[in-house]
This record gives sequence, C-alpha cells and structure tokens, in this order.
Amino acid sequence: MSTLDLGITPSQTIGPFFRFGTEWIANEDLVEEGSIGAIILKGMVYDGAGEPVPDAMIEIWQADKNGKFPPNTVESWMGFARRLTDSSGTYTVRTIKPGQVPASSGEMQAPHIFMVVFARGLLKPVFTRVYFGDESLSNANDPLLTAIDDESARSTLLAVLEGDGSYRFDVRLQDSPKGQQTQFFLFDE
Amino acid sequence: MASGIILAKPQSEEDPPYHYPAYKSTALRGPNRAPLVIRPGETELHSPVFGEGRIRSNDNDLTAQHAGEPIGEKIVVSGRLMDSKGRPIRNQLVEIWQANSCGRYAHALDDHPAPLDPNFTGGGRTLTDGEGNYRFTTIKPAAYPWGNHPNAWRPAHIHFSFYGTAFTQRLITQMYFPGDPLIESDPIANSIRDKKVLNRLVSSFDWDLTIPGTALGYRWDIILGGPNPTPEAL
Repeated sequence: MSTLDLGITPSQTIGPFFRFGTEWIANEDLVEEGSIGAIILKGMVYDGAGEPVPDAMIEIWQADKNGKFPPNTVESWMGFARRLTDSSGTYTVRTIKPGQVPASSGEMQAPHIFMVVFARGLLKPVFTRVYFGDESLSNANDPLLTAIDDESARSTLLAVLEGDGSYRFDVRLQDSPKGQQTQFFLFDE
Repeated sequence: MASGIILAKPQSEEDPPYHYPAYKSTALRGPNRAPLVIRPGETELHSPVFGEGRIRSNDNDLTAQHAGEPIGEKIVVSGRLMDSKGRPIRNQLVEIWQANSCGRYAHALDDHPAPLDPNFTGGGRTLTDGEGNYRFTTIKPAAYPWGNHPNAWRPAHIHFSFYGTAFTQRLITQMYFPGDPLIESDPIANSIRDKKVLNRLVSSFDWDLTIPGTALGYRWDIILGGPNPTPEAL
C-alpha cells in the first residue's frame, strides 16, 4: 500500500450480545422452499474444546446459478444470508449451488460460497470458502484447492452431502475432538 | 502453487491478533493454524446490496423506536464510510447495537443487574448517502462490568457493522468515546497494540453535530481496508 493510504479502522469482537441488533436480517433464505435447485446448507460451529459455539454470527455470500452477482442477476437475487447460531451451535440456510466464477488469474474456480464467522472471543472474523464435496471434477481443477498441499486442511473446505440431501459444513475454530481447524483465509489487498 | 493464488504475505499488524491472553475468550476461539493469504476471486470482490426497502424511517433513531423516550443522554453519532483512498462507500448498510444508558443490553443472557429501559432496545441501521455519510440518533451507552478479570469494566462503546464494495472489506468493530479513562485498561481495546491505530476507534466530540438544547454530537469516520475497486468500478 502506498503512503497515501488512509489508516484502516481496526476490528473488534462482535461480543456476546448482538442478537437484538443483527437478527432483523438473519432469517431470510437465498431462495424460497421448493425453488429449482434449492439446497440446504447446515452445520455447527465448534470451539477448541469441541464445544458448540451458541453465540456466533455467520454470513454467506455467493454468485447465482449463472455465476453472476447483483446487479447482473434477477432482481430477487440477494446472494447473501446471515445466521445467528442457536443454543446448540447450529446454523441452517436454504440456497442453491452457485455457478462458477473466475479467480483473479482468470481461471475458472469450482462452485463455492464465501463464509465469514464472527463470535465473542474472535477479535476479528474468520473467512473461509464452502466447496461442495460432490463436485469432485471441478474441485480437482480449482486453483485454490489444488494449491493447498495439506489434504486434511483442504478437506475442511468441503461441504459433505448428507443422506437427507443437505450439505453439512461445520466450522471448527481450532483443532479439537471434533476435527481439524477449518482452513481460514485472509485476502491480499 | 503454479497459479499463484496463495501468497507468502504476513498478516496486517494493525488488526488485533486472534490470540490475546488478556481477553480470555480468545483462548478457545481464536484459530491456531495461520490463515492462508490468497488473491480474492470474483465472489470476494463483490458485496451484497441492501436496498432502501429494508430500512424504516426510525431505524437510525434509536430514541424513536418505542412509545416513550428512553432515559439517558441523547447523542448524535455521524461520520463517513470510505475506502483507504478516501473514496466514499455509497448506499451501503451500516448497523449499530449498544447497551442502554445504565450499561444493560436488551439481551436475554445479559445478567448485569442494571435496569432495562422499556423505551430502548439499542439496535439501529441505515444506509450511507451519496457521499458515504451515515447518521444515528441514540442515547449514550454506559460502561458495564464483565467477568473477564477482577473489577473488569468495558468502556462505553457502540458496536458498528459495515460492508464495503468487496466482501473482504467486511468489518465489525466498536466505537469508543473521547476521554474515557476505562479504555486504557480494557483488554478488547488494547488488543490493538498500536495506540495510534486504537485511537481510530475513538470518536470526536463535534459542535457542528451538536443540536442546541437536545443532543451532543460525536463524529466518527471509518476507513475500510481490503481490495480497492478500480476507479472505473465506482
């Protein structure tokens, strides 16, 4: 960054008591029940003891089925959802698999959803990507997944197709009895 | 790493770390494995648009959301949302939430034995205008005790949530008030190790925002980091 850049406002924790200020938009799904291609994405947030995190705020952001973002989508496409984890640490959201979008290199990426998690105890959020475990062909050519050498880290980015047709994506803030920490990302400025 | 999507770059020194022992909740929640620094793709370079239809007229006046007026010192908090080049972030969602004038949150799990105010919930939202400006009318929140360490008190603060033009600019933070003696002993504030950077979270008393006979004014501008859009994209 050049010296002309202004000083960036730093992050602070969301704290424990945010529900009354953030829940107004925390119940909307990306698509209506019964929509073509609708999927359920759900999971839990775990801390380093393997205990559920009942006071996390999750947001997802994604392209539509054609890989487009507003305003280049139908007007009803928000592409965004916010969830506050419940007392069992669970979140659930109805969406669709996004279309493919390019990486900065121009290479096409496998379908993925951007996810950010805030919680008490996180002084800044964690960012990750939700890929789909049943997209093995496109995943095998994804520029990010193929650049992560550690297979156990890579597998934390895959939502697992469950028997009921939903996709399960757990967020593990640290290594714990629930499994390896989710791979998180920061972004080049 | 043929594609060069993963970069060998250190994290910003200005944001707080994931682990800060003085703030005890970081111990089991801050990630231990380092995040990978990557080049953002198209998804991360876009951001949601929250239309005006979602925002009601009293959503930015927290003193006008109930039948009566809340107890406390009425204040105006206003400022400008910008990127690191000083360009305004227009028509974007800004949300706040806070404790009441006694230091109590309208949250079921807040057990601080200070009174709730039936005329104050403490949540607000607005969209920035064409110049990136936002404005809230509220009451000044009070300090409150918390269980982090013996005789621990949070300085008075308002929680703020921001979006930019790229989702990587997403920011949730806290605004403090000038001259508050509790800031220097607060582990959450002091997780920002550089005092100059911490001071960016402290608002300024502002006569121009002060409404005679009614409300003191505080100014607080916000600079979002993250990828800068090209001038053509604005």
